[in-house]
Amino acid sequence: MVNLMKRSRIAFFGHTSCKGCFFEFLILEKKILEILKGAEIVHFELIKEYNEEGPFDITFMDGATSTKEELEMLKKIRKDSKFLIAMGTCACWGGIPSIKNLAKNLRVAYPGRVPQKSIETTPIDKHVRVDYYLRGCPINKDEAFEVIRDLLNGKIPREKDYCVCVECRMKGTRCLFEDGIPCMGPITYAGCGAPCPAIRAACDGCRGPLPDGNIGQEIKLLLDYGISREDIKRMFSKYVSFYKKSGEIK
Amino acid sequence: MSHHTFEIKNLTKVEARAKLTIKLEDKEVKEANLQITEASRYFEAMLRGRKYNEAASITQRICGICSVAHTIASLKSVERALKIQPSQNTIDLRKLLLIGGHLHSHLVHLYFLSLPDYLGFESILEMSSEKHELVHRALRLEKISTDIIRIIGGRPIHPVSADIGRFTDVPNKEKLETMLNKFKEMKEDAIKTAELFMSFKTPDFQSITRQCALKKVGDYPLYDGKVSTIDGFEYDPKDYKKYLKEYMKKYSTAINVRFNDERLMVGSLARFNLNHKNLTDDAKELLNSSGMKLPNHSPYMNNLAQAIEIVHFIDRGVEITEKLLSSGLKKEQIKIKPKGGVGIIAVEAPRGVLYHHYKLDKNGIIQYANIITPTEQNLDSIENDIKRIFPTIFHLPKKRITLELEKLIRAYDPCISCPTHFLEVEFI
Repeated sequence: MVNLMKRSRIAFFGHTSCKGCFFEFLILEKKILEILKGAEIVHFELIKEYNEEGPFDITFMDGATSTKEELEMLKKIRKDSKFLIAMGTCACWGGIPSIKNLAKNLRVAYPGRVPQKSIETTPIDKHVRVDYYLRGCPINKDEAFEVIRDLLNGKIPREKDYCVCVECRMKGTRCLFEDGIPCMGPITYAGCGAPCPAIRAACDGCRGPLPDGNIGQEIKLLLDYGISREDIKRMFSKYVSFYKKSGEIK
Repeated sequence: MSHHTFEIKNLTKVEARAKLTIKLEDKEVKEANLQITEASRYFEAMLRGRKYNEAASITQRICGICSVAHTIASLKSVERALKIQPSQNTIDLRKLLLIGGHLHSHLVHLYFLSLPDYLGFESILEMSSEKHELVHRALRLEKISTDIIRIIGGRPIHPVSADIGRFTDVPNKEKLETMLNKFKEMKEDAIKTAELFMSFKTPDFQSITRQCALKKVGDYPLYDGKVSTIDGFEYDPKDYKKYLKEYMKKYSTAINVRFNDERLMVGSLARFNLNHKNLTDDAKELLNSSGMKLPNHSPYMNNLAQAIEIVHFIDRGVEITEKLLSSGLKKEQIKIKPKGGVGIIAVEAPRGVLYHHYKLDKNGIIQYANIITPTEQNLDSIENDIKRIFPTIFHLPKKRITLELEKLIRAYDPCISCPTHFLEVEFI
């Protein structure tokens, strides 16, 4: 996968997002220096004056695709990249910026003219093949580090295919449902380390729906906890990731 | 007559994408267009129809480096609309969270985005072998600042515990003590940071603008206060529409804001000019030894103001944490009854005054939202400064011109994701 004989070339690109995932990555602190022993960060406009063109061995693609320019760039980035990582919920699912697709009137956000032709805001895998989904709003920096470490060691990183509840149990966090707080943990991809329930804030599903999550049962639970159907729809449409599942709210 | 255009296609080391185009006629600068190429983000449109309790977690995603400020601004605006008054403990904990956010943002800007320019490196990554100790200090400080946000907010980017009228959970005595030690641990490195930025020579360049910041008697406010201009005019944030005018430029996806049709500047330098009397003793001492004259109108001095603010925020962080340790924190429960209302408030984000304005219907559904970010208020001043500084650097090689322009732009610490709801520099 990644050539061990030469220093791997890592690139970071950002499209429509808040760039929070980049800042989360920068909190890796000394681990960044560790990465630099085996690899070179050749493209990262947020922190670098000189940014090289491809080819890249590992590319982190942050942000959703929401303009024609971004779409063209994305296609080129895919062509230039051996291993492409969708970085964060915007790239993986569309995320917060794609609430735009559901908004009735976009003009109200700007005084006067809407500045540019916007296309439907989409996750990047609508347009290109993705090799790894680094989910979360924001990503978990330690997962990002593990992915790079695996790739530099010639190993294909494995995604975590269990729900947030597993990580709450591992941490010894008391289930929020037991305190009467409805939570989306049971149907949401883990990998975040469940920081939200640990501070008694409900999981809001930022990492997106697990393919085998029992959506029907979760909806029933939420209704039992007094959440209205309309509010469940709102919860499902926050990162847009669960939006397609809102048909199950009956 | 010779027409000529100077472009920097992609401004780096700023938060998100922007491009600079300078149009010249007989070596005279006709236009300097800072074109924000970041996609339009439509937050105000997205908020319509969403519920009051979703506003904070949606708007914190406007910006990954000032998400704390957006979170708190949003909560305050919703509380104002619902007529909810949070407890003093909640307010104190929010102030601490804001301090954590300001520390993190300033440290990233100073060490990751600005410092390499001053030391002649391409990036902080390139500095790691030659400036080993400096890089370690940067990483150490940045890490502790995010630990502070994590203790209170649950995670450093997009914290989750700050809630309407309360926190979902509050740090216990042990966590408050850990936080106190973290603030104290940062102090020596923070003083060294301020001394480092004091040692850099910056161009003698003045930019007269209406500087604005929050003002409150006896305080260096972040959380509340009236908006005050450098010449002493004050207004309540709720009257912002009387004084601030939002408009679009044809070449950019960003909103621009002016004060009574005058150029504005907000951020650390404005806060310094307006509130320096209320800096902590150690921060005042650094200010005095720096020789920085106040009021100061050099945008380059914004970096030094940020560096000294770091020391001030640490001292304030220690004070508030000690206060909370002696009073003790209790988890609060709150019952919210949705109702109609309007909430217009302002806080100091790391880059300056940030306004959130919502109107809720009787069911607590957002009918109208307007957000004015600090960078929107600074954009006109940045463009005007570029226009003025360009003739003085025009004789230099292209690479140097680019670097000098980028230094000026970065001094303002523009956050480009924010007003698109920002830079490539193109020299055609």
